[in-house]
Amino acid sequence: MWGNTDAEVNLWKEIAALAQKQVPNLQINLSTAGWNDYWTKLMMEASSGGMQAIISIQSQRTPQFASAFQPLDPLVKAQNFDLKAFDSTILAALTFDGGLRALPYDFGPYIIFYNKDLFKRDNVQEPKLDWTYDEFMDAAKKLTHGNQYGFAAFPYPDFCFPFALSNGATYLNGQGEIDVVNAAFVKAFESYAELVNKHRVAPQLPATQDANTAWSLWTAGNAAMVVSGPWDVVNAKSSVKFDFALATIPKGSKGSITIVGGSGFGISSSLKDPSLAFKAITALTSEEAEERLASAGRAFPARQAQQASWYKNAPVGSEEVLNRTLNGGVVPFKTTPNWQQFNLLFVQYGIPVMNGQTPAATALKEVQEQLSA
Amino acid sequence: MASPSSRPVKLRSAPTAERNDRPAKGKKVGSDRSKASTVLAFLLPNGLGFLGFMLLPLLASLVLSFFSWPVLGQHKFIGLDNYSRLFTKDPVFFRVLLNTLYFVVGYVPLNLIFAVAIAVWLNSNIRGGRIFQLIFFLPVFTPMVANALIWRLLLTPHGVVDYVLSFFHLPSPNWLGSDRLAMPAMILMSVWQGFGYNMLVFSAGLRSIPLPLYEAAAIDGAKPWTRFWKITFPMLTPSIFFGTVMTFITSFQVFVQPYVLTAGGPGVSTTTVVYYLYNNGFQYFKMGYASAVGWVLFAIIMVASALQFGFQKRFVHYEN
Repeated sequence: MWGNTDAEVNLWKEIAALAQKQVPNLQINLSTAGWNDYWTKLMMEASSGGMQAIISIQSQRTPQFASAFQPLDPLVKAQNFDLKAFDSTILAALTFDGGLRALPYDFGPYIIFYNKDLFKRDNVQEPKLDWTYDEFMDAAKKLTHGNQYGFAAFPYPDFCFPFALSNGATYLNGQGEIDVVNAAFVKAFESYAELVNKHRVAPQLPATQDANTAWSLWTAGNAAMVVSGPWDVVNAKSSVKFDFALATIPKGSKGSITIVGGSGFGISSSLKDPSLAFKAITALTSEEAEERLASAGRAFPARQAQQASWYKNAPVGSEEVLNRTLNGGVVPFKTTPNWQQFNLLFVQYGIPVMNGQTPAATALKEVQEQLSA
Repeated sequence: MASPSSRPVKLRSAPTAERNDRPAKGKKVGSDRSKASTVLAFLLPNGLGFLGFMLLPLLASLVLSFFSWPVLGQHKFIGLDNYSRLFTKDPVFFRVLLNTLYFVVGYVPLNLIFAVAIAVWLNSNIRGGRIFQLIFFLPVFTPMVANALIWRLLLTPHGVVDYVLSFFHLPSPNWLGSDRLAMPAMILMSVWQGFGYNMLVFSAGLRSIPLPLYEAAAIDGAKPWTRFWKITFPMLTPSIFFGTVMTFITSFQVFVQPYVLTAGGPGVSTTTVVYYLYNNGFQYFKMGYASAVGWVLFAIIMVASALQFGFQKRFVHYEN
């Protein structure tokens, strides 16, 4: 499991102890690493065959690591385990090559976070539940003056895909491979970049791979709106000095459609008898465990019944926004085995597009070429 | 801190091995075998380290470069495919080579010119010369990552440079976001970071130039400019040669600056060979391909160094 702070690691110790009670004849040892190191460590362990029996995985990385995880479907059937209590999009996001690779503990759609104080100060109407892209643009323009920007944009796939999807553009082809050179996607990315290079409602970007660039602008109060997910509510509450709330992704030509990602626990493919390990992961994602994760603010639970305890600590109006989003238009965040490479290239080539130096079509063509080289 | 010593320091491109003529204590004089075992005992720690941490990994990477070697998945021998892919199919490798060359050609001369100029200036008995020397040397021994991060903060949109320029109503470009300015910004930062080392080497070289040469030239009526070109520069060439070779090698291997300052971007405009190697090996997990990139760089550096040693005979002046 990954964990960046003592508080996080302690919470996972608590969850492991909870699970231990459910499977007394299995010894559960928790081993953690920081977020970035975790993936390098997992890659090295997977290549040397020294993987732990139970491994945590994020949905975006499922295809990359899929071969190291057992498909859980036979175990679900054999133990008659009920998957219906989990949100269906996160189950789909954790599925690769026809097999479910992990049981989810959390998930979340990408949505808008906004700074209520800035909206109030500039006398701009706060986002309604069904606001449109025009209304979003109008608000962003009014909120942009001096060193303050209406929106913090960054060409990270997670942050700009919701805008593309809402306009009917896709980033995968029929075979599930990356295709960012199709006309609809190029057009959608162009219009996302115009937030910086035409409408100037978002600041120019330096060349970087730091995905926190946009989030830092927002938490510093220099941008009124940013895209992130429910997992960041707990971080925002502890780090920002202003009042904030959530809003849906503004409606495009195809409505408000966003991507859903999340994390869960899977079983190493090298484990001979996985039935006990499966018991353990059902315990790690049990109602009790997810209740605890939700009330600690760590995770928006993948089990629908436990989501209520998360809302208690969330900003006012979050429940309506998340319900509307989850019931409106969400798609599982489907990725590919070479996603990490795509992610790096997309950011690297996306920045000059945002800054208005390279046309979107040229940059995306270079990304696509390098992926297939 | 290395303070300038009053003794003249002589710098050579390669230190001459000192011959130990005195017999080791308690050993029979002239016993070749015991001499050999003593030599071996002294060489062993370094030799083992070299073997374990240099030679074996080096050979391993050579082997890897002939394989398709994803970290996760099947390894397959593919002969020279990685190399032919680099030069025929890879859409960016030539651009990456050119970027590295751009950096080397921009950085090495600037570094050397700055280092010589400031070393000569500090050596002309100005007040507080030692303090200045310390100040110019500071960036060399502060960690490169910290330096690059500071420059990032300086050059970022709405950063310090932006603020100062706009205070004087000057246009402020997006230094790290522009494909034309990112590389010059990286070179500028690297010169600031790196010239102090060569400056120190040259200072030491300057102090070893015999004063009577200058006195004789002054009596003959040579102006300072002439004295610099006729005495200082030729006498300094051994140090400059050492500085050039070392700076060349390290600048071909530039990595931290693109890693911290620009992440190789925008686009591919600051991706250097080593940064490309890192991405292939540790981001895309293509170990075989990354190894091939490494060996191409090895060959380039070897050829470049050999050329420089060839030029040494013509341009470097040794007193004896």
